[in-house]
Amino acid sequence: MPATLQQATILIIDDFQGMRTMLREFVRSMGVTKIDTASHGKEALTQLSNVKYDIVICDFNLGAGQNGQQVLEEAKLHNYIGVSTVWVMVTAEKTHEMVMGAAEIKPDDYLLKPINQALLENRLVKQIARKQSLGPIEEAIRSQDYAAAIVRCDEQIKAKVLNPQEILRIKSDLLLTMEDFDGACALFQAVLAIRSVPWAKTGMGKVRFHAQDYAGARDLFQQVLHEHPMYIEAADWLAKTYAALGDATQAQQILSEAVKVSPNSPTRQKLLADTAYRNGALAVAQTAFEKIIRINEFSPHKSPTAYTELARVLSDQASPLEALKVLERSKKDFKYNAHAAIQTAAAESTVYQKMGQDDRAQAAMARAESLWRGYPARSVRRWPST
Amino acid sequence: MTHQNMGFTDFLASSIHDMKNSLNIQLGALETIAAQCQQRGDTPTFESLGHVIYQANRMNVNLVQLLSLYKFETSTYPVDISEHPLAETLNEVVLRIKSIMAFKGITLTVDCEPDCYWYFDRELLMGILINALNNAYNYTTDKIRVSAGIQGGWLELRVEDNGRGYPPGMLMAEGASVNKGVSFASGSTGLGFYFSSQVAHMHKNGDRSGALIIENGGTYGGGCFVVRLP
Repeated sequence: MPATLQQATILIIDDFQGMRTMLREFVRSMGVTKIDTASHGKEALTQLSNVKYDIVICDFNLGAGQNGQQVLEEAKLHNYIGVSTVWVMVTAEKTHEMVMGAAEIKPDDYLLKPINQALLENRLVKQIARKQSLGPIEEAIRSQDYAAAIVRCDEQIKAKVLNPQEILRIKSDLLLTMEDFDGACALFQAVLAIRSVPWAKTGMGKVRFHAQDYAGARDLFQQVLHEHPMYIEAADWLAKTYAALGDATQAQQILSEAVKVSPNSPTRQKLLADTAYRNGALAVAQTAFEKIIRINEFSPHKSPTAYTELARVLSDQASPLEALKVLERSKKDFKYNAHAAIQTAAAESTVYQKMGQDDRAQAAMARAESLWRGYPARSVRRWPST
Repeated sequence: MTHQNMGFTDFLASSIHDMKNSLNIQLGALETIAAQCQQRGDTPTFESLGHVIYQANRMNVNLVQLLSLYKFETSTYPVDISEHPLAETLNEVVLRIKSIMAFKGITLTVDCEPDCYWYFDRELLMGILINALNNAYNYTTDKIRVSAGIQGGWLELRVEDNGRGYPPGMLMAEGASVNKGVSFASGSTGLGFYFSSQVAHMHKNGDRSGALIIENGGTYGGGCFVVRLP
């Protein structure tokens, strides 16, 4: 992170020429000289892969193709941007993905339109200061020196930074990672004494969960969701807690509600799909797998597993022809991916087997095996046994 | 609500969204033109643009409020009540509205301790403050003061002006319901008050919830728009 805004290298991503020009003029007037622009996700990702940007100003809505959130996720996945990069999303309205708990990867800040230069500059300066306060903590976390990271958190809190709650939250995560549950518990208690803050109450629930007090954990997660229905992290933990309590039906119910609030998390959809499949709720599992395929359409998370698992659900629902269609799509979508081809062929074999077409099943399996022999990689995930 | 009604409301909401996008493009262009006028010293054009921008801003605020109310109703608004520094929030509200105040020669003062933090949804609170400032702009003589402070476990936000104050029919004590002041003739729809009081109520802490108070007096003896959050 540069010491000042003027030294920063900035990328502006917006599909409207007019907006790109306006934003470029804004940052140029702030004294920034290193400015690039991109008009869509693909172009932005190419630039992000070539240049280390300090600041990315990205419109959430980028027309056809990837939206701003997906560009952010892909950039993060490929390590094009680091923890010190400031990512500001410009948007016409606030979405669940931008706020607490509703997405795994979030922008550092979001700005509602209409924006002006003074407003943008104020936010960028604030974010640079924030990144500078987080820098030493994240450095310690990267080298897995969690004790040092905690010491640095305390230093920042003492120094009266602009974001004391954020630092406390990082500290609580560190305490949980180090399995210092007493320390974490004390921190959450101190925060909760003042106000019922969702992250602290959820944290307290995690402490109970680790102490195997599942009933206590369940009550806390339920309280959080009652007070803050959008705080999805609590829903994920509540589902996990119900699973630990042996109540898979409730776990599925909670996840079904959670994906209604925040439908675009592939991990949550996967959890729902797997839970529903185990519960025999094949229609729910099917919908969730279909959603995963749709979410990951333009995403780096796109994998043949969602296709083969959807095929398995369809096959179990006595729709083998539908299952084969899904696998055809998988073949097409992963044309140049040997790993995917093996997985898909193995899945095909299982569907044919279930249909009683042993010769076709064997042919598919033979194809999978010949691909396997020609494929140098370490391991290939087989069709999970059920 | 019947299905037919649902269809109509959804239609309204998506149209509002669309109108808001067009308006934002206009606003951006108008501000650029105004800045250019100021640079070349074309004061008369700059000042008349000021009024146009004020009106466009008011329209944007109204559309945002309508869209937010729709989302409250359908439980789709991503309410995010978290801790924010008040000084920073007020500073940003001023940055959004400063150019308008300059057009009319109004002195806008901010009064807030730097270590004042509170829990609120940043965008919603900024929305009601901008709305209150737009109102004060209209009714003040030449001064507006916006302040924030913590008293007895409540955050109190005040927007005060040195105008004639609110007419008696619009004064509102804590907890009063907001359904007055709707008049198509005067252009006062009551939307701003309704929205502000809804947002205040959504802010809860334990069994306490926020409130909107409309009174006269305060620092300048004019209108006072007060929001209290637990």
